[in-house]
Amino acid sequence: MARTHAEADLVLGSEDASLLDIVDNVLNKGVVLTGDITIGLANVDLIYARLSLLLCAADRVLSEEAETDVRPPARSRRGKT
Amino acid sequence: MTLCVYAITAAPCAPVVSGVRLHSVGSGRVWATTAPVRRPPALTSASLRRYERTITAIADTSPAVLPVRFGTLMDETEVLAVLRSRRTALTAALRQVRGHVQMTVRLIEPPLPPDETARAVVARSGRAYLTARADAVTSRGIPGFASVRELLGPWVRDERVERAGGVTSIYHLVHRRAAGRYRRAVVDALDAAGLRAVVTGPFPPYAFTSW
Repeated sequence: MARTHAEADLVLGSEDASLLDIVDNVLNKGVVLTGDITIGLANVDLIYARLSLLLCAADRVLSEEAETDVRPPARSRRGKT
Repeated sequence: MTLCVYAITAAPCAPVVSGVRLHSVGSGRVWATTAPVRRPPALTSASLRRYERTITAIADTSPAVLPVRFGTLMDETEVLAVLRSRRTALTAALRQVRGHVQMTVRLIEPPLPPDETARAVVARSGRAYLTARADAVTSRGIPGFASVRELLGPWVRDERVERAGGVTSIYHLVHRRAAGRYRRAVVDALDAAGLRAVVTGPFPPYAFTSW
């Protein structure tokens, strides 16, 4: 607990508190990293793909419903002929 | 053309930021404020500061604004498709934040007394367990904050709570014109409750958006 409070003091006592707010605000819902890939052959572009990766704490993105463990329906038996 | 999406607004909003005119894409009551970019924004403090200045400039121009995730890049067709598909949810969210700003309270939670800690571990009943889970994501679960929250009731339209590393961040959605009164009230209430905290804001409603 003492160590946690010491770390918390560092956070709240930061000289650049404005940067803390900026980071906390702008990255509140995570960050999207985007990359483009073009796959080609013999200098001919064939496939273009844009990949977007969302980096975020799970509890800020996933809803309560998404976290519910939903069991798949039981499989029905097929009659053998 | 690749667009960086900064925010969602209820009407076209295209301020000039650092000499660059932003563009508004959309229709009806849901618009996206964007700017063309050649590459994704770098994840640096300078880039985050620029992003924050842009969001603030948009919020200064528009009464209802939902900041968008840093680094969201799309072309215009994709933006329009997303706005169409999420029109209902975005309209409701814009209505919720209209005329409001975010105030942030960061406090170091005092340690629980030993008997409270033990009680917190053992769920007395199913109802108690569910109540404790619900309180954990609101300010009701913060030791000593109940009196503060009660005093702030008239000004707080919505609330989000995040806990990490011994620091609890409480985000309150407050009417723009009440931000000053809210700040004075929360500082006095925190002092009276003996809680150590830092109050910042007003900010655009970053914690009250989902895109």
